[in-house]
Amino acid sequence: MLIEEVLASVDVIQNPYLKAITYARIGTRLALAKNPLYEKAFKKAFDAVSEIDNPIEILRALLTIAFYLGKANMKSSKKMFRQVAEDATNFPKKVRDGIFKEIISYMLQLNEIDEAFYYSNYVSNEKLKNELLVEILKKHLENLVGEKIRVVHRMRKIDLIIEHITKEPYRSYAIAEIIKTYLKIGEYDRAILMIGELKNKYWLKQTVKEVLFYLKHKNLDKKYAGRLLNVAIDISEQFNIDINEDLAVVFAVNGDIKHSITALKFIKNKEQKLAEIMKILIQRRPEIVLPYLQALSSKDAENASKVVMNYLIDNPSKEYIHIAKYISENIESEQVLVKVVQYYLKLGDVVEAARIASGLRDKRLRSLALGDIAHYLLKNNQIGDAIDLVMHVEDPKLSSVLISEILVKVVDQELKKTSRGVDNANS
Amino acid sequence: MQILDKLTGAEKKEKIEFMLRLIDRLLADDDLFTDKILLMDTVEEMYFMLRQLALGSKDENLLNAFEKVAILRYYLQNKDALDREILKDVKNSLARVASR
Repeated sequence: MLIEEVLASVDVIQNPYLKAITYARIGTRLALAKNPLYEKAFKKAFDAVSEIDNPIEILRALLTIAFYLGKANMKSSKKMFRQVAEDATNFPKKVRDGIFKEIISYMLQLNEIDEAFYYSNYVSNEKLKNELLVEILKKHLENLVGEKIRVVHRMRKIDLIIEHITKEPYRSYAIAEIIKTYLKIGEYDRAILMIGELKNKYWLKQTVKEVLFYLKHKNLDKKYAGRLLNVAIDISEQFNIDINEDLAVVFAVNGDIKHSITALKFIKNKEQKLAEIMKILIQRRPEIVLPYLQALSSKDAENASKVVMNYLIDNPSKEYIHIAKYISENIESEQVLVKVVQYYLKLGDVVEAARIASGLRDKRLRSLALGDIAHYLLKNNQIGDAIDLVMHVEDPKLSSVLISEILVKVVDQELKKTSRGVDNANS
Repeated sequence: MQILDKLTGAEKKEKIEFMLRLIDRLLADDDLFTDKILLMDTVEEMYFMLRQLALGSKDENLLNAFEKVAILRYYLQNKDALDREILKDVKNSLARVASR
């Protein structure tokens, strides 16, 4: 009884559009509860639509009613959508696209992927169409996760939808979403194969990264890493998308040094890129720097060490002392060793600095290193030690400069002392 | 081609659209980003991309986005938490850049 009263009361709503929707909503609830009054509710909803005078509003209201019919599992819902869609084609493009957008959104809410995909064909604005297709695809992918049956059929549908997403950035994004789903349902081979569809540099890099980390968590990275790298290198060569350096970084950050170095082989100006990789590694994954240096060929290790040491000199921290130690013991380049000396000085470890400096064979470089140390001692007022050191500096020009500095410094100190003495005497 | 890309700002647009969708992915609550290193790396990537775009730019929204991503990165590095609200701010600023 109360329900009948409610149905009668809806009539107080002034706005016919709202009135129609309210009836439809009540109708859905009644239908799902198997209450025969639902027919009356829906009929009243249609009556309310006839009160609307704006033709577009009418279509919108009809769509909403169709949606609620759909929610109530009524077969007439689909027919109504078709009818409205047909009527909508008479409107100008912009209005039409708007209506189809609504239809598709309703279809997705009703989980009618096929219908949604069908209607997307009618959208004339390319951008909007691509946007909607991505939404459709996402919904379809959502359904795919967790459902084991008919996966093959559903995957074929993925291919069909993606074929229609032609515009960037939608396409790359859609592919990235597909790859994500493939990973979740364990279709790793397909996921890796799909990477080949990515033509956008950023997405390619990001997706390779995501796949690699995902596989790592499943402890499958060893099995698939090689294949993943090959696919990525293939694309980058085929389409001239230069991401090899990024690949080297991606694999390195993941801790997969072997494949990172493989990627490095494909890089054209390797020296420069290696420098970039080392810079990123020491900033983001310092614990990988050491094994990475160990894995490089001696010439590459030398270049890499240079970059690492430059960074360490700018950011002196005891944390990295083992890296410096490794470099001082294993890298032959004396240019690099000079940098190690500087690093130790920054940390205030004169003994270690002096030990490495004294081992340098190149006269010029040794002078330079000793000069650095002398300078450090001077700064800390250890003039006696500084003088001893300068005696070992063989570069006449440098030793002159240093001696000059030391002497000036001695005078400075002496004057300071005497002036303090004078002050004391006066007070 | 590269010169043409630069003149028309195609590269900038591409980057911004990439980031916008990347943020969608980050906000999607996926188990994809449960890996801390991957999450860090992704935010880091955005940070450097935005820094490069923001340098020399006078676009207020772009600078805003960069500022926000810098804060986001800081939180992630030091407090080990992805602040979704800030991420949404970044997205909004970027969306305004894109709509220009």
